[in-house]
Amino acid sequence: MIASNKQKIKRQEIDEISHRKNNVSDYMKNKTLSNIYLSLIFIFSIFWIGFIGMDYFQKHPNYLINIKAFSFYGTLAFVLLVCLGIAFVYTKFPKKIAALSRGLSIYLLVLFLISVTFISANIAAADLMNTAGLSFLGLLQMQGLFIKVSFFLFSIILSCYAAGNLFCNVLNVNFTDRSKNIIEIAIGIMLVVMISFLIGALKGLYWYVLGPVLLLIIGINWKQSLEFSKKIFWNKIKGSKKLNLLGVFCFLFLSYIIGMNLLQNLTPWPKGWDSLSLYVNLPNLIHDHHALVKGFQPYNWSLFMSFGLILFNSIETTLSLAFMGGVFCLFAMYPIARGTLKLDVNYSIMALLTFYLIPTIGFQSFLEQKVDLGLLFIILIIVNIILIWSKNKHKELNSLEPIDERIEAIPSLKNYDTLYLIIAGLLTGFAFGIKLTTLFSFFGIIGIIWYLNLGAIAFLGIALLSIFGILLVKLDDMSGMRQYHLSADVVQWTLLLVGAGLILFVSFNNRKGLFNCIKQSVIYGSFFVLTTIPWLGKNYIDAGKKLSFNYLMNGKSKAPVYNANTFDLNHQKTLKNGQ
Amino acid sequence: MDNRKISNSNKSFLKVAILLIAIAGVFFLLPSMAAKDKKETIGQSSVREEIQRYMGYEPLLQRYLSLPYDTSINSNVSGAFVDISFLVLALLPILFLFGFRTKPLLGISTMFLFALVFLISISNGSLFTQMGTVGIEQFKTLESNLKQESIISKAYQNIAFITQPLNRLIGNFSSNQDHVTYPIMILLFISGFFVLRNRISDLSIKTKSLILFTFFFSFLWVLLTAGIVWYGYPIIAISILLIFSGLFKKRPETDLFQKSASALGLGVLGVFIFVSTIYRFSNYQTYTNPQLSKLMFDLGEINYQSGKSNTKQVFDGFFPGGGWEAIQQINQEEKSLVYRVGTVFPYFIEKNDERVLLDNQLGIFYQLNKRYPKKELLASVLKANGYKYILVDLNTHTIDKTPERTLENKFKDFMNFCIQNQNLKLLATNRMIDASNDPQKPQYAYRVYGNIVPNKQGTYAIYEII
Repeated sequence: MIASNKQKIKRQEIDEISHRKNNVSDYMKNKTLSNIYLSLIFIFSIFWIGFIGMDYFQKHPNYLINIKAFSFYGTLAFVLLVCLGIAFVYTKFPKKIAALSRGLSIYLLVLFLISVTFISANIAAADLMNTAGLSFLGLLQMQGLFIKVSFFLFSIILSCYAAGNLFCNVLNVNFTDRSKNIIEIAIGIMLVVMISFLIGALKGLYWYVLGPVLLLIIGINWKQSLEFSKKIFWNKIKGSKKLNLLGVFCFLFLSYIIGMNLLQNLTPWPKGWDSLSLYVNLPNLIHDHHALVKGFQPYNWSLFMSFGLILFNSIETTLSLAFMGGVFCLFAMYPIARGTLKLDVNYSIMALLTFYLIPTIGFQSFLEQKVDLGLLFIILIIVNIILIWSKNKHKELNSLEPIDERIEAIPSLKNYDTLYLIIAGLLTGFAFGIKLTTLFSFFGIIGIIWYLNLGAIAFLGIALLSIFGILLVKLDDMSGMRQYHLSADVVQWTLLLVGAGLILFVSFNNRKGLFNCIKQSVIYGSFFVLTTIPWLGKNYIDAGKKLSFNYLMNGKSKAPVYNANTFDLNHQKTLKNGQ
Repeated sequence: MDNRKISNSNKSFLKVAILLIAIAGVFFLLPSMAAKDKKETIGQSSVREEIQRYMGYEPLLQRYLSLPYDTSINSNVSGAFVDISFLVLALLPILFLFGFRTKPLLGISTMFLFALVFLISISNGSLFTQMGTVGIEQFKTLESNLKQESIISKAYQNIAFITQPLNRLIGNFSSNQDHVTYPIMILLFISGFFVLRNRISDLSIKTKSLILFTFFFSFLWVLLTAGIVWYGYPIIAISILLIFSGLFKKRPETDLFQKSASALGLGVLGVFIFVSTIYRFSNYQTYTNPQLSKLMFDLGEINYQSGKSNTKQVFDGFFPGGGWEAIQQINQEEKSLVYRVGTVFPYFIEKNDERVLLDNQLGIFYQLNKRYPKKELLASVLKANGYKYILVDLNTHTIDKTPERTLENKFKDFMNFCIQNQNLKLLATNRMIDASNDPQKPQYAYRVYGNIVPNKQGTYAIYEII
């Protein structure tokens, strides 16, 4: 079986090469012309990268200032050397160090490295501000806080895992080893948040209500929960045999940055504008009311973040739950890198490090606790599920196995088909309850469904129809841009005609494909709606049972509103009363 | 067989030619569809001030076409919170192009289109100077000591002979509002789709699905979000993976070209990882004050973590000038309403979901001010409606990037309302002024009006309506 798989892969590779060779244009057969063309591409690339790089740094002078003024080169060099040293020992003597490659060892290493950094940062601050340095007790205090919040986070995530795992076991749905745990965590977060939504609707969000519910979930699935805990902390990490110095180094350095980000979330309140105004203000209000807060756009991730305050009265845990979205993203990106893009394990980890170092991602990981990284995590999970589904779908459509085997295989694939779509739909609805921009992902997934059933032209057709729908309900007005597009109405109807025309064209000889597209889109869409219904219902009730698109999306808060007439009337009343 | 191949290559040439002619046609033949500029109404400009600043205020078509560039280079709004780095813009188009290394016609057309969109993006470009970021036209007229002459500023000036006419050309048929931007965007989406389909034809079904998803998502992001970076996070995450896949994925055949590309990419990634690590551990300081880059943590944060400060002390560190006491006072009166112009204080106000009227872009104030032009009267109207406190962000006007400066004007009016208003009492501010007339004997005080002490501009003020 393995041999036949290898042969299949080899055959695919040969097909790819021959496909490329057959596709080579006539020009390329002339070596001189070919070399001129390749040189042109290379020169263009150098200019492109050079110009963009220099332009970027010209407009970001702070990079150079920071590089010159940075006073932690020594600390950073120490951290890098430790990571490099361990990576070297790991790659040279993997068996000797294997006993240490456990989650707990990595956690302790990170704690050690962030403690060194913390001491160093304290010394610099004391020098700059002429204040007292860090005492040993102060260091212990920091470490205690770090461990405490880590424990709180782990217990919340464990309950999510237990819920997600239980859900998948009951439905008998399987994912690949690389993505299984992280998908189950995402599903678990969705389930746990939905439970807390119900409790919140009944005004029961107290620690003594939510806590036992989460414990019960862990208790029901105690075997898997225990296994998961052991896997995270104690079991030896099964690293790929292809891991080299680069991969291990990037992994350790990435772990250190994650640790630093967590440390910088341990503050008495959020630091960013948006988190103070909305995203952490909501968990704060939920904690105060012990219930859902009236109004606002759906706030699934803020509800999840409120667990920190409800369960442990710990604002640091609430802030760190926002940061966890970013960490989960790394775990969700890894299966895409390895499974879909077939990237080497070392470069995959380097890609994750690169992503995590992008300033806007870093900013939301420790300076501004918003919900965008949580949303990104859920979207990446949806993408993972759809990619697994697309592979199965492709197998189903292009099965090269003998007829008997195909007959046996297809029913199971079809079952998986529906389940994957259902889970993706549920998660999309959940993501929509984090931010309304999830609609972009929704339309993207619909596009993939049509692409896999009817091909690329159908993808284009459904994409144009989606844009038609977007323009029809004036979603482009949310950014206030609609008013500037004078041809929007004409464009939307043209899109309808062209999109529908393309769909008709490709489905003319493939009615079954069209039927499948519609069926699968309806399944996906229905389950998307299912998880949005609670929020729509809440907003409908908040708005005094008034039905409008605006109220359904945004609800109606209890905040005071400006009304010119009321303002006048109240003022007149006050004057009459002689105040 | 040969004849068929020639005819195939002729066909693709024809397709590309039709595509280019169509695009050129839309560019050149539709100037009559340009619309007169709509006059922006000051009272209805909140969305324009707050959201559209990420996109910029160039002619409409340029706003959309330059979004990938603006988002990567941060030419409209700057700061770590919108900084997605240069990686995606610098590497993804190049990797896309490398896929056409055996298809010169498509490769050259792609290069031409990339170059065209890039030139359109920078045709309204700006450069960083000691005065901050200024437009390229203003840059030319600056005194030499204010300029930061660099290779890039010279390059901008040298290619002005292309970018300026391009700018004028677009200005002919696109302005603040027009008929052509949507059709052109849709046309670009459709043509981009066909080029992309050709580019990814030999990839696996999963990879194709991933790329098509990202392509459509990206288009919707460009079309609908006004360039808000975090709405496009999935594009960044998937693009980084695609970049790594393009550069380092093991292939059955690896030629010198591929090796050179990998080396080039590795170099760019190395530079990025180095600078972004330093930036990260400088606490994302965007200030040009080198002293601040020497701190890895905020001072309040580090003191809290080591147990040196409690919540109040950290608060006083961030918001000196009596903020804590003012918030305590507001919290003692649960029924008094609060009128808020920015600031992050609602977080600290109990039941803020029921008590705080939000007016960050001063849209409500604009209407109130028109109705009650006398400042004392306006304060008494607010009081009559239950409002007892006003929270003001003293930097509200700084987000205003609109050409009309609508927010700046409203904020001036608002500050006029606050100054010497008999019905308002200043409770707290962290703005420091020098109350003395003698520069030798400064008398520092926390107030809103007066000679502001350098670097003590402050961020907030809290008033009580009496």
